[in-house]
This record gives sequence, C-alpha cells and structure tokens, in this order.
Amino acid sequence: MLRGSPSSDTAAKTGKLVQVESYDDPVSIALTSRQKRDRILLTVFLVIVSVTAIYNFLIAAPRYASEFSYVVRSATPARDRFSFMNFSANGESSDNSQAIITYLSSRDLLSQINSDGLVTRIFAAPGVDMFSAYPSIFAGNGAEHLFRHFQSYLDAEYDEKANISYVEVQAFKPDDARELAERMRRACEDKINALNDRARSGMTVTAEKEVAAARADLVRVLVQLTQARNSGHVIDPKLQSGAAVSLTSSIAADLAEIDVQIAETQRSTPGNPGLTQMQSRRAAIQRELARQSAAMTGGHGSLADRIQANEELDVARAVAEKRLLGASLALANTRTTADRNRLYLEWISKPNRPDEPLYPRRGRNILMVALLTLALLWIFRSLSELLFDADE
Amino acid sequence: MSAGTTFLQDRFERKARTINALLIRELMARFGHRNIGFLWQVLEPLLLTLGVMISWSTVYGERNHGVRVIPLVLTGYTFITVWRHMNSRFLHAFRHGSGLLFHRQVRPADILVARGLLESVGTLIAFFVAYLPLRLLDVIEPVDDYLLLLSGWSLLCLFSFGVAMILSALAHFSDAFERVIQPIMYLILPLTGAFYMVYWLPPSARQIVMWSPLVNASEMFRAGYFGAEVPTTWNWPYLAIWTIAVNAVGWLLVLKAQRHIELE
Amino acid sequence: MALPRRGGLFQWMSRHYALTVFVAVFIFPTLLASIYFGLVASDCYVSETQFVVRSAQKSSAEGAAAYLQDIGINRANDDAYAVQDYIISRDAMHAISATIDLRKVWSPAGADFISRYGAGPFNNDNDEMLYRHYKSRVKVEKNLETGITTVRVTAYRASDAHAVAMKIVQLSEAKVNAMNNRARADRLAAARREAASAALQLSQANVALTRYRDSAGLVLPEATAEADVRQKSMLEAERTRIDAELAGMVARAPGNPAIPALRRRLGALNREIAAQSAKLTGNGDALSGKVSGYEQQLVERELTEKLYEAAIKQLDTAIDEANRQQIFIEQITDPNLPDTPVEPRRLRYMFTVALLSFWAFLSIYLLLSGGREHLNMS
Repeated sequence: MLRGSPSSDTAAKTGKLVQVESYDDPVSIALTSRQKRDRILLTVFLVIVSVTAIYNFLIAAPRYASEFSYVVRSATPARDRFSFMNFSANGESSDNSQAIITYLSSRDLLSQINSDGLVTRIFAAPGVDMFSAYPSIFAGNGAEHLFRHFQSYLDAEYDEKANISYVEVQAFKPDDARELAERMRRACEDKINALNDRARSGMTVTAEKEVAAARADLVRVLVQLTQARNSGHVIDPKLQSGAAVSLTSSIAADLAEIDVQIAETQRSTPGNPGLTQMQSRRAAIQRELARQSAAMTGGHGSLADRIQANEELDVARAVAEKRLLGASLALANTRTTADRNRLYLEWISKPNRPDEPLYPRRGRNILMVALLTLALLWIFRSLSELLFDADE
Repeated sequence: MSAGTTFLQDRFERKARTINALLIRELMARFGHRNIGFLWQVLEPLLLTLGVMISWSTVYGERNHGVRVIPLVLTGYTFITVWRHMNSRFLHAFRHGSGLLFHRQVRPADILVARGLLESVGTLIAFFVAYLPLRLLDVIEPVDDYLLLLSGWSLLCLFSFGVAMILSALAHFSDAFERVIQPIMYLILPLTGAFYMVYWLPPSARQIVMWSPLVNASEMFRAGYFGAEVPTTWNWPYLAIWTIAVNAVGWLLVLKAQRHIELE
Repeated sequence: MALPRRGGLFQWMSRHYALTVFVAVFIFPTLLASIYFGLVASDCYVSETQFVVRSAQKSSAEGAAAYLQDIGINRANDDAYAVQDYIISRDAMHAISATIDLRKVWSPAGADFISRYGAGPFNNDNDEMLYRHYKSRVKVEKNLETGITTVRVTAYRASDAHAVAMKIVQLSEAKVNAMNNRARADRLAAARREAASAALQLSQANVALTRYRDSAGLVLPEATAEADVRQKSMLEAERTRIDAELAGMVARAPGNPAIPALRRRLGALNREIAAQSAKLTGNGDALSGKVSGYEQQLVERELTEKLYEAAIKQLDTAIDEANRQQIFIEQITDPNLPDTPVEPRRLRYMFTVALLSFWAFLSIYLLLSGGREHLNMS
C-alpha cells in the first residue's frame, strides 16, 4: 500500500505501452480475437457436451428405481373444509404424512434398513462408478457421509392435494432397489405403529393412573369396612337391625300378652297368688325390653352407633365405587378415541421390481447440459462483444 | 496472445470506466445535484416501504398467518421494487439514452448495464437502510442466513436484468409491444410472490405459482430472512436455469437492437 | 480537491477510492473468513432430533372455530411453542447443567479461540454468558407447515452433543408431563372440590339421620312400625277370636262360667289395643310422629345423595375432557450419535462472507461515488 504510487506509475506506463501496441490495428486485433474467442467457445462447448455424454453413456452405472406410495389414514376421516382458509385442513392426516416423510429421510431410517449392511454393500459393490460409490473420495467415509450420499438416491414426497406420499429409491441392481424399498416400507409400518402406540399411551396414561388410584381407594374403604364389621360385630346393618327390631317387638308382644293376663287375673281373682309371679315376670320382660332398646339406640356402643360407622363407610364405598366406575369409563372412552384415531398406511402401490434402469436419464441430462452450456457461453460471448465493441 | 490479453485488459478497463461514468450520470440525471441528491435513490424505496409497513401493520396487526408483517412487507417491497424499476427503466433506455450515444465509447447495452447495477445496488441499500434501524430498535428479527438472502437477491437481480433486456429490445422493435407491456406487468404482479407466502396458498395453487421463477426467488429471499421459522419452498436450480435462459435471450435481442440503432 | 491534504497515503486512497473500498470491504473480510473457517475453526459435531407435540383434542374453541376443529389427534401448536421456549430457557440450561458440565462441553482443550465458550477478553464466566452461548449451540426450529420441531445440538465432541440432545429430549418429556399435570389439576380442581363437598354433605346427612334415630329411640322406624302394627293386628285377631267364641258361648250356653273370664280378657285386649293404637298414632310420643320426622331426614339424605351423584357425574365429564386434552411428545427421530463433524460448514460460511462483503462493496462504492459526485470531488 505504501509503495502504491510507484507501482501504479509503472502500471500506467505499461498501460501506455499496451495502448501504443493496441492502437496498431485495433480492428484487426478485435477481428482475430473474435475468431479466436469463437473457436475457444466452440471447443469448450464440445468438450463439456462430450464429457457429459461420456459420463452418461459409458461411466455412470445404470440405476434402477423401485417405488411405492401410500396414504396415511385414520378411522375417522379427515375433513377437508375451507381448505383455502384453513391451511392445516385435513391437518391431522397431513401432519402424520409429513412425520413419516421426515422419518423416511432420517438417520434413524437409514440405520434401520442398513442394520445388516445392505446399503453399504450396495454402494461398495464393484461396477458402481466412482461418483456413485461409497466410500469414495467424493462421497466420503463415515455414517454421516453415507447418510448424505444416500439422500440423493432417495426421493420421498408428500402430495398434499391428493394426500398421497410417493417414495422412490434407487440402486444399481433391480433386486437391491426392490429390497431397499421393501425395507423402507416395513420401516414406515413400524414407525406408524410406534406413533400409534405413543399416541395411545400418551392419551391413556393419565386415565390409567386415575383408574389405579380409584381402585386403591376402593380397596382401602373395603378394608376399613371389614375392620368396622369386625370391631362393631355388625355384618349387615339392615338385617341385624331388622332382627333387633323383631326381637324387641316380640318382647313387646310378650309384654302385652302378660299385661293382658295380669289384667284378666286381677279382674277374675284379685287375690290369686300367681299374680305376684306374673308381676315379677312382667318386670323381667320390661327390663329386657329396656335393655334391648338401649342396645339399639342408646348412644355409644349401641346398634345405631355401630350402624352409623358402618353406614358412613358404606357411603364411602359407594363414592369409591362411583369413582372407579367413572375412571374406568373414562379410560374406556379414551381408549376408544385412541383406537378411532389409530393411523394406518393404506398402500396404493407396493415396491416393484424394476426391470429397466430409469437413471441416469441420458438424453435429458445431455440435452440440459448442452442447452445450459450454450446459454452460458452465449452470455459470455455477448459480454465480450461489449468489450470488443468498446470503440471502433 | 500477449497482444490479445493486453488488448482485452485495456478494453476491460475502458469499459469499466464507461459504465462507472454512466452509473454516476444516471444517478445524477435521476436525482439532480441539488438537495440531498442521490440519497433519493435510497430514500425513495425506503419511504414506500415504511408507508406500506405502517398501513399494513395497522390493518393486519403484528402477525399475518404467523409471519411478522413488517419483515414481510420489507422483503416484499424490496423485491417488487427491483423488479418493477428494472423493467420500467429499461423500457425506454434506448430512446432516452440516445443522447449519450454521441460519445463513441458509449453503447446502448452499456446504459442497460449501468441502470441494472444502479437499481440492484440502490434497492439493496434501501433494504438495509430500513433494516438496520428497525433491527437496532429490535422491531424485527435478524436475517437468518445471508447466503440464502443474497443468493436469492443476486439471482433475482440477474433474472430481472435478463427480462428487462428482452422487454427493452422488444419495445425498441415494436411500438405496439411498448403499449401493452405496462398492463401485462400489472397482470403478472401476483406471480411475483411479493405479497404472499407460498404456504398460505392451498396445495393446488402452490403447484401453479411454483412455476414462476419470481416466486422461487422471493421464497428464497424470504427463506434467507426468516430461516426455518417460516415454511418456504424454492428450487434454486430451476431459478438459475431461468436466469441463464432469459439472459441468453436478452443479450441476443439487445445486441440485435444495438446494431439496429447504429444502422439508423 | 475539497479535502485537505493529509499525506500521500490518504491522497492515494482518495484517488483510488474504488480500489481502497474493494480491498477494505471485500478482499479483507473474505480473506479473514477464509483463514478462520479454512484453518482455525475447530470441528463440531451436531446431534439432531425431531419430534411433534400432539394432543388428543384441540382445546375447545367457539363458533366457526369449533366447526373447523377436527376431533382426533392433532398437533398442539401452542404447546409446541411452549416446549420450544422451554428448551431455549435458562431453566432448561440449569437442568442440563445438573448432570452435564456445559462449560466443559463448549470449551474443551483444543477448541478454537473464537467459537469456544468464554473466548475473548470481555467474556466473564457466569450463567448469563453461558446462557448466551447455550442459545448459539442449541437450535430449535419449529416448522409451521409440518408441525415438526427439530432440535440441533452442536458440540466439539460427538458424545457430548449426543448426551446434551438426549438430556433435552428427557427434559422436554418431563416438561410436557408437568404441563399436563398442571393443566389437569387446574381443570379438575373445581369439579373435585364440588364432589368433595357433596360427599361431605352426604355424610353429614347420614350423621343427622343416626342422631335422629338415637333421639327417637328407633333404628328402623318402618320395621318398628311394622312390628307394632303386626302386634296390634295380632291382638285384634285375638279379640275377634274371643269375640266370636264369646258370642257362640252366650248363644249356646249363656250360663257358662267361662263367659265372665272371656269378657274380662276381651276388656283387657281392648285396652291393650287402644294403648297400641295410641302408640302408633296420636299425639306426643306416637310412632307416626317419629316416622314422619324420620322420613324427613330420609328425604334430606336422598337429596344430598342426588347432589352427590350429580357432582360425581360432573367430575367424570371433567376427567374425560382432561384425558382428551392430554398433550404428549411423539418422537420422530431420536438424537443421533454423529460420527462426522458437520459444523462449521466451512465453504458455505466462506461463501456467505464473500457474497455479503461483495454486495457491501457495491453498496458502499455506489454511496461513495454518489457522495463524491454530489460534492464535486471527482
């Protein structure tokens, strides 16, 4: 930079020299340059096109493509309403298709189908050209490189309009292509099932917890109830209180009977010595009756008291039963929802065994390269024309 | 050989000087020496962008279909500006620039190159002049990927340049074409992709608009701006092929028109 | 020339401003970037994982939105954003730090001095700086169209990247579960409270019933009443029998000595029946009054039972609803253990810098030319 001035001076000098030279005969220089340029461009064009042709016809290993297509469906049909407004209309199905497509071009899928080294074998097979082979200096060496390399032999697309996914995979032998496609198809099935299971467990996990809690609650109440029965000597309050009541009432009947007898005796024979006996018998019956009703309703330890504990636990049991019932219903409901939404792959076409190599598309490749080269060279030629035309 | 290369070098330097001079002349001719002069080149698109930004923001609120409105408008109008300006400025380049042709170094194509450069660079400056303060105020998100943004932009500029060359040459040969070109430009505005994101459209419409190279370019530009936050679809080889094709045809026609002018 | 003379260099730069700008704005940054990305930058490994956040049902919407709503398993957009925000949060970073030393992960020995954590003279080592670095190393992208969230973790060692990514997956799961529990508790709280208070009322009604039984001296008023009635009818049957016997006896043998005894028995029976009747019905301590009080208590209890059942039903509905609104993470791809460093993408970054600085050069050149022309400098 510091020595910029002198060097620019030199440049100016050489520039002048050049100008002197070029002013010799600019028109003829331009003319010869043009001819030379066109010759060079023509050569470049021919070289590029012939290299492309050589690669496509002689070097490139033919590739066979096997393809399959499917629709991701669930039992409840996706609704396609207001598809213009709602950009995620038939969203659920589309989302799942996208998930599968994403999975198809993932490392997980590659390691799944390459579990026994099939993919590596395919690309390392003899006869595969150097640009398509793996490992190679172009494709690299390592799982990450294999993943990237494999992506250019795999085409997974989801057509949102038709809701169909198309998958195409290429290999160098028809059977390999088919085997790859078949493995990918199975991997898709596995994935969709895994997604289903995840969705189902994601939905039901809390409901299941709820059911377990309700069941535990019910068991606890039942245990308490047994304990209460044991400690309170009450098995069935209704039966037992009914028995108690009938006992009381039979005692009361006895009392009434003895009352009648006493009254009758008093009328007929007031001095009957049996009367005293009857009186004492009546007192005994009276005491028994009082004891019985105390046992039934007389505060702490009475039948009513014990029944209360029992009845409270009965209520608790009813509560727990209802809760368990509700939780079980909710679980069943959730399971039904999950099952209704269970996804499945509907195969439109299964992997085929290609009998003709589809790739490389030689004619198309050569035509494209030729046209593009022509256009690029033409642009280059036009730009140079601007220079040659600078002043004539 | 040595004579040829030095000859070319000399021609190249002279051409660069010519185009540079034309560039500055264009700048001055359009905005004058007075006031803030050439800054208008920068402020003009900026004002338009700001105005539209304010009105759209009030109409649509902060988000429209999940995309922030301000960056959307900023990218959209930057995009549409370069496309429309390039086409309209080129249309009369041969006639308006004819005064310059008395200079013997200046060829009609040089004017096109100078104008194309001016539009491309000027609009990009305008983009960043609007972007930087908004970014510093934290109104908008930073550009996600400059490579995508600028590749998209470069391809757009080259594509617009090619189309504009074709239009200018055709307008030179046919007056009728010159008349109908403006309405046509308005009609194909929806195909530029400046006003929408492709993923807003229903799948069937997506397939149609993706045939448009301009939509590919705008999606690419926006992909560079927004990153993975916003779904975008583009196919850069497709866009590049279009660009090469229109430039090849454009140069063919422009050189033809140039010879035609010189014969007059 | 309008500018003051300030030495030869400045003058030269002013005259060759295009070249100066070209070198300063284009050549220089591009060269620096090439040196850095080509020679200096250390290799980094990226571990990637993809998942979708789903819910059984979209949260309830109203009006047209409800019509648009699909029943089924849907992506949960808001929740996915919540998960995304969580992953890029200080909380998550601290949670990862509990098991993995992030500072060591991002500044191992041998890492280059620009990209590693704590590089540069102004970087103090604190949590905030670590968080900033964390944000540059952990990238979360959510695709609006497919609903798929992608997490990428960059580290200098493959195992570190993998470990951090695994941890993030774990944490996201835990976060989603916590969100579920929280939302569920919120949704069910009211229904649960209602059910609990109804259960309490029911047990109170039961207590009241027992108290009433105690105070009335009855366990089962119906049974007692039935027994009483049965007893009364037994007495009445006895009376009818004696009546008939008496009538027959009076007709057949009016002088039978048993007749007075039968008459007396009949009288006693009549008194007893009257007493029994008074016990069953009548004022004061009669059974009928007790039964009506008891029935009132029963009605009360039935009412609370109905209330309780309604509350339980409501709770069931709420649980059902809550089950539907459960969100969960569906893992599409698990974090991979990378075996090839993919970051930095050297060529790509070099090219980015080159393109950016080239356009910057063009812009600055145009502005400078315009400015100089405007000021009549050239």
